[in-house]
Amino acid sequence: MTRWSMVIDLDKCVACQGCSIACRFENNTPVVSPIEALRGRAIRWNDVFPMPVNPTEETGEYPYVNSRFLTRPCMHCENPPCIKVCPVQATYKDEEGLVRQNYDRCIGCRFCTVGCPYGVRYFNWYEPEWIGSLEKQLNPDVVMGNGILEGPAVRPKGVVEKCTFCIQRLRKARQRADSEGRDFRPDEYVPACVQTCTGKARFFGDLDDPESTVSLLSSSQRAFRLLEDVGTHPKVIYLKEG
Amino acid sequence: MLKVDEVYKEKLIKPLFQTQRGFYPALLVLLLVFGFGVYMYVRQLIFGLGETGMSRPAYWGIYMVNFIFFIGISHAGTLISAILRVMGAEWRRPITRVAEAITAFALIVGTLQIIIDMGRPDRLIFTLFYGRFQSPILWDVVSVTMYFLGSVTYLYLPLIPDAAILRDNCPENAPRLQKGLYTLLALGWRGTKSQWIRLERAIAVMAVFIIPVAVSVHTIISWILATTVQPGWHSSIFGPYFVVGAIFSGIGALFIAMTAIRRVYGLENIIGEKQFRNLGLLFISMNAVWMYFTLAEHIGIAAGQ
Repeated sequence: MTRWSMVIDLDKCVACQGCSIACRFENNTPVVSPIEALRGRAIRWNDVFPMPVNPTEETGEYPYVNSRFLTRPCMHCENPPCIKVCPVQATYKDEEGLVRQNYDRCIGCRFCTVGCPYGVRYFNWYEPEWIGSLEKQLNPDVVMGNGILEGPAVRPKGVVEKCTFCIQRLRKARQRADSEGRDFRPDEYVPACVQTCTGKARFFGDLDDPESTVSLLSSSQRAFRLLEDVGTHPKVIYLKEG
Repeated sequence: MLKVDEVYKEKLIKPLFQTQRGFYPALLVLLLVFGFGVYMYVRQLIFGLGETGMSRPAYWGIYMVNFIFFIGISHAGTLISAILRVMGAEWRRPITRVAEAITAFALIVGTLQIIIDMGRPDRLIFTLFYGRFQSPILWDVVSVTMYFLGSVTYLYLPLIPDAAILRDNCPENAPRLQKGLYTLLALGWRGTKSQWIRLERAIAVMAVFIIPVAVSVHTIISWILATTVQPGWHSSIFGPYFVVGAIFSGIGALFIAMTAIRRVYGLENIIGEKQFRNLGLLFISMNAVWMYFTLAEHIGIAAGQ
């Protein structure tokens, strides 16, 4: 069984925010006005922020700046706190370890957004809007069936959404392998953020395969996970700088 | 035919059949407040929850605060009528009904907050179809429902003899609907000895049953916060801390309600100094316990700063 995992090498990350933009276009995350964004309602499944978020030490004056950045997708935890608090099983971990979100089921109680210690879950405060030509650039992919609506499908207002490791790409890669009458290989699919990464800082693959890149990198001396003491066992692994 | 003292008849029964001066202005003010609330909720339904001003990371705002607050003051009824009843404190009698009414109505208001807070209230039924029993919200649905049914029963049981008194002492010109309602609520109560024994037994059972339910309700509400890993919420004392805070604020709500009823209905002789003094002592002692929990929660964190 595959167990999808991502490795982010902070040494290679140039904080270009390309992953955030690629995610936005792949997954149709709604845009909000600057006023709404200031209120904290911007939706960024893959966020890029300075570390530490609230600097406790001097970061220096331009051009002698000493700053660090962290990119943050969903951690797709082995032990996700978000799925345990959902009263309707709208969010669940599938057999491949992906923490998924069913927009057709979600009742919008926002317990999971509170339960997630990483803040990767976003709530649709308003009906999503795309201004002007943005509407024409929507990703037409939809993952649905059996009362399930997920992936880049345009979300209704009042539901929670999150990073899916581009579930629609996995779906398509599987279908391609099926139609060509061969077995699906884990290296046939990467999420949009991994594909676009400028510094090639992101790696993606199967953690159950001991020979995969992510498995080898996860045992690196530099490997760490976010908030390890919380007990969520994230499957997004960071490689620390230096 | 149940008789009632002439002095009390004037005080207790007459207001039920006569509209007092000031009723319609008060009703108008409350309807205006209610109308404003409906207007804002319709706005929220049409435009989305963004209208509430909630954001990230404050995903839960005034609705959750209201929920916890109203479920909290609902503990007034349980404390006064159940705990004090089990302890045999007879001074509670005049204010029992007030306290039980606070419980039933505050529970309705509190539960409504959760539905108002939902992003998709149209999918409320999914909690029954696809419920995940690990979720504290579902524990909450179970415990609040049980508490509501229990406290409505507990409000109603001691009401039966009073409904019978009203049935037998209706003025001639009382509306038929009102007469019918009292006849229905009285359940054929005649005030015989065997009826009293049975009623007392039922109330005694309910009093013992409702106390653990009330404690569990507010403990579970605190667990909604404490089962997450959010810093400041992930605390082991939240259960008792919330229960003590609930009883504390419940007594506060009871003070307001009993003062208002005493003033409006002129019940100075019935709700007297004794009730206020004893309840005040309880208030102070709950305050002390609550203060202790607050200190216990914060000193440990503050010491590490």
